[in-house]
Amino acid sequence: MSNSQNPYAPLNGIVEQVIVETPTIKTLMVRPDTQIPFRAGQFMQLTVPGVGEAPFTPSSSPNRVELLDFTILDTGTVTHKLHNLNKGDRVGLRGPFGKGYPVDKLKGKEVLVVGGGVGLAPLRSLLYVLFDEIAQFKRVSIKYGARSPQDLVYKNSFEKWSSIDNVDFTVTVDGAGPEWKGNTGVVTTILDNIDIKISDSIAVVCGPEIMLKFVTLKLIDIGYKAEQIYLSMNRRMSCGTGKCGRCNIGPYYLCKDGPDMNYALIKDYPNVFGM
Amino acid sequence: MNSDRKIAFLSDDNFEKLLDVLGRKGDVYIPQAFENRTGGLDYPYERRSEGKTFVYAGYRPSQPLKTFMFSGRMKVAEYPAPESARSESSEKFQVIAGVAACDLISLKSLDAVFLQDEFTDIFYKDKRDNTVLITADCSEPRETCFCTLAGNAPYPKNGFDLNLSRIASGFIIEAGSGRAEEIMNQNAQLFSPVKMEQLSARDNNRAETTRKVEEINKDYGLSKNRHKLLEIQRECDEWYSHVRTCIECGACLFSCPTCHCFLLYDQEGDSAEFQRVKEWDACVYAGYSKMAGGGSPRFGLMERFRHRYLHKFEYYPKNFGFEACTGCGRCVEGCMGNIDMRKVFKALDQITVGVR
Repeated sequence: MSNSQNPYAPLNGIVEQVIVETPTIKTLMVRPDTQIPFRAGQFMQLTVPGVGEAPFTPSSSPNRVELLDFTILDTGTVTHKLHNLNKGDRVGLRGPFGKGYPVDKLKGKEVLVVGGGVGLAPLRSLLYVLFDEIAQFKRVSIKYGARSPQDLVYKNSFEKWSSIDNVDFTVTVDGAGPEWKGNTGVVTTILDNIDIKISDSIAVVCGPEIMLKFVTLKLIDIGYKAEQIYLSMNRRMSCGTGKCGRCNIGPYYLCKDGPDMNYALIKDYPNVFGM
Repeated sequence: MNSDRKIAFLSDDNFEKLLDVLGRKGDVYIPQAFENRTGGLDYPYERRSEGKTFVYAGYRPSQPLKTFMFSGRMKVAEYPAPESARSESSEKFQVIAGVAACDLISLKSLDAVFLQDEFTDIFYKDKRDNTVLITADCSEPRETCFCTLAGNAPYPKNGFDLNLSRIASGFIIEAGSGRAEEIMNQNAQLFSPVKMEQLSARDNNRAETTRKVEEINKDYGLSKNRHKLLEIQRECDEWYSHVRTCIECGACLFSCPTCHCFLLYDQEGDSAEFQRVKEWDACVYAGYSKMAGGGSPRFGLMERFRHRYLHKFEYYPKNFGFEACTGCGRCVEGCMGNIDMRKVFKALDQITVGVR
């Protein structure tokens, strides 16, 4: 019985580079021993040898499978150990799991991408796909918020993304010193008065639970229907294959049926935005 | 019942001889009688060895059948990936005798989770493939039994290898699989033809036992439409009055034949540097869904308590088309807070109009 048939066994990977994004967020560039094709939004279980696993959606393009980026916030046991890894260290990889973003449903639409904090990481994988085929989408509007200017990830890419035809990119921070010339306020404040034909739009949202909740309420408030909203939901995960039980919202397992869920499917179940 | 099935009479002595034969291929597990703390008898499975003979209790064994399909704690991977991921490429053959209908039917719930997708649990599959199931009709249901409410019967209908129906001085034995027919053919000298009156004795016992279980549960006229009932009553206060005595021990979940939740964790290995362990987990525990950073989607005990009902009676039907409850009654029997699922449903039923 080889490890490839065993859904619980990790494949080997090597950390090739570590990028410090913010004081609490790093991107690990991981080279897997064998290439692992994935769709944007699908996630992997990343193993710190001897410590355990945690789920991350690669933040790199699915068109680049030889090297996978994982942008990780230092917040729990496994993520803390991941932050201590250096170039050349070994990690384990399982996956990809889940369905990934509904890219086909976004075609011909005004795509609204809303990110909060490290939530821009999985969305970056989607953005690369959208940018590669930008003519297929009416427009891509990106709304990104973080706590402070120093908590923004991928700052070096903002200018490049903004310059792409049909891409509109807005950033806000919850609070900042006088040197910050941009928007201040939580991410919902840059969703007021958006220049989007809402009936022709699909929103894709990723961020912390509290942000998902208030962005959803705001989107509904400005005219989005539940069917037009996709949320990258957060739950603890273990197996990644819908067996271990813990990542459900109603009958859906985020690991198998998500992690991006159409809000219409989940909105009536208990504890959707449990915190 | 399938009338084409191979069926015969088997004396008690010859059943032991049959177990001797099967025991040459692998371990045989049989129910044994033990006095419990309340002075009654429980029937845990034990490995058959010298001096231990099959005990027909007429009641389900203590352990849920799942304990033979995936143990409470097991190694599921070694890494960095060694040449051969597992030394025991095929699981050992095992025979489980005395399985009750409520446990046999639980395999349907487990198969749906562990076998039916691209990520088959190879460890579970090995056990399923290499286990011979010898079931037995019940005759002595207890107050906690409610198979009939769960839509089942106190005797197996399908999915067994061999089934035993107790009659005077032996059993009617019926083959429910090709493998079992082969076993009967190879040991033909142990069996004798079934007489008509023996068949009627079996049918009478089945009818009588069904009647007993129905009598036990006559006060619990459960809604036929349980998933609808739960949909309506997810947010009602009734949940709080039932969770009051729950001490979060997890007995209802670990003893449940269909509960399958687990956690993977990593530790130092033996043959490889590290190993991954799969261990039973329970949704009533506060840590079960707790995320890094402290958030949890089911923060309160009521929400965790309620989840068990929603998962078994609302989400399972939505995902698989059937409920994940067999009516074995272990959750009722094992609860230190005297929580009885039947009473919870009855209470929900009483406050709901028009869901029958």
